[in-house]
Amino acid sequence: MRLVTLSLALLVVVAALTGCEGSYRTRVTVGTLTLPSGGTGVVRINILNPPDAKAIQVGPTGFLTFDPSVIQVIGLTGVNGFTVFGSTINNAMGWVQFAASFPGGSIRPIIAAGLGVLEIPIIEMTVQAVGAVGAQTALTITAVDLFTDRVGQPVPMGPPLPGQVVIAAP
Amino acid sequence: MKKLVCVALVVLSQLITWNPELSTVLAAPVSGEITVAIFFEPLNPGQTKIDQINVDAETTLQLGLFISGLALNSTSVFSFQGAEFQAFEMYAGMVISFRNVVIFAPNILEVDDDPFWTVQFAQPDPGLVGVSLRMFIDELASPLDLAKLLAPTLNTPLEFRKLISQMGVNVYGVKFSITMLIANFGITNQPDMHSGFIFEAGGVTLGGAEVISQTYIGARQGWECFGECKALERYFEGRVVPGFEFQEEKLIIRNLTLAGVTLGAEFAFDFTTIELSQIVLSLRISVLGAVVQQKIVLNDLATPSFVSFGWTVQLGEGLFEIEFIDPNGLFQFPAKRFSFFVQWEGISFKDELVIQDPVGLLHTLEVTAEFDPFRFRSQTAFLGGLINGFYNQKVEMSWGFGGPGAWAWLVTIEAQLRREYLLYISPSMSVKF
Repeated sequence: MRLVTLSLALLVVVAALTGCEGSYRTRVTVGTLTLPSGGTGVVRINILNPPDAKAIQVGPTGFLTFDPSVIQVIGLTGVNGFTVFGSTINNAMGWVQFAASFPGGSIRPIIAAGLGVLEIPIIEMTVQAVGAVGAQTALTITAVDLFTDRVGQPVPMGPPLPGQVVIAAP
Repeated sequence: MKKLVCVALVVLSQLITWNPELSTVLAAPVSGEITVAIFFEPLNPGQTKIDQINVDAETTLQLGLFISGLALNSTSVFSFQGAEFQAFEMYAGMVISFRNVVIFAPNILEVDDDPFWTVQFAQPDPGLVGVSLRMFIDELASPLDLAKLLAPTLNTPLEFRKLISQMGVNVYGVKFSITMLIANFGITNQPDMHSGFIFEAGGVTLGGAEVISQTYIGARQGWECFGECKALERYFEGRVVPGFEFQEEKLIIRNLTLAGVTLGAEFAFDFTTIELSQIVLSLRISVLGAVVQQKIVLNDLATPSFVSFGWTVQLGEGLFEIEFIDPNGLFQFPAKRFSFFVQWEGISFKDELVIQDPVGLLHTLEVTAEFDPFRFRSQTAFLGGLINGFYNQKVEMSWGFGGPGAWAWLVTIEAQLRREYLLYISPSMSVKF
């Protein structure tokens, strides 16, 4: 019994130290990428703490913004069951809008044996570096217009977490 | 009269057969099990008092015939659509052991053995390639999600999909085996056959270390599943890939003890990319009464897809695990898993915390109790907080009675609550005969 008490206390301490207590928020996160000048690469758009995430839409209010003098967006592809149904890429102004969903299901954390994965990629955005070496741009989602779960209910979420692309020497 | 007694003795010896493969005493040469499971899923969960439901009914029939060293097994799966899966398995073991499995199904899925069980090939394929099956075959998933995902692949009649043919022989302690795989990747009435071989040689050294070598030709590590991809419909002998070429070489070392440290290692070399494709290293050591285990998994070394470092410490009845996980293979380890497990006789308790940068948190509490003939299991999951942010509650209760060589039955009820609504409820019943 003392062992159990000790272990529970340990878990509480770990949780307190990590500052996670009560921080329930589903977040849309954008990945980071280092690209050689002129090269192409993939930036992932992910869901952190995905409670049966099924559909997401950035636009018409929200944008995924970037500096068009640093990168150009080539295309968006859904992954892990998600399909991008529509997207608008404006490489002159530096923004992207998209709508994507998982027609056959929804995503949730994976806790199978030996696994603990809470951040699931849903979209891969292919970008090309057009800026000079050392240039960088933030990838910021200004707002998520629609984000629903498996039964069509809006998922409460925190502000999206931005990503970054840095141009390095080839 | 003497003849009659002899015949009776022979018949008796056949009836009471000890089959080491199945670890059971068989009172009759024919045995089997039938399981009927029904899944109910509300159509508009949490929105109406009276709701419509989705229903999925599945019947699994397993039959076995045992005659001396020969075992014949049949596994059939039926749903509302009719037969979804049929496998015939023959096993004969004497000096040389043989195992043959013939599988008939409307579909075939080739799955990578990466931690996410990524679908590499599917026929028919309504967009399954690239999907992580782990998201559907997981504690938090509803079985109906997997059924809905694969339903579009089950509309055609059963056809030949796979042959697994294995032969093994033990020569002076070294076990040699050959596995032949033939898979049909075609559509109805247009078969597209592909084959592969896996050669395996392995043995145990005097020091107790086990060394196994595997060569894959026309096949790779991974597994295949059919029908609704349930546990009985998964085969882990490897997956066939088009083109009969050298694909992989794998070396497995287990239980190698050096200076009190027990080591294990798995190396996979990929002939198609000419590089190591997988390394799994494990270490086990006893320190001051505690058992420390470390495991390192590196997949796809060219562009690492998954890296984890883990330690397990056993203190008395308690088992602590700490694991650092990087699902992106960048050695940044944004995810950490802490778990504690303890067991007292028939009751066990597991508390697990998964943290992922910057604010990801999943907390699960699991209690299992087993007192014949009852079994109870409860798993509660909180997403985003420690005992905070309720996400999922799964409950399983079973009541059964049975024993070797006797009729046995098991009644189970399983339900899952997801946030504020019922995800599904499933009664099932199994009868052994």
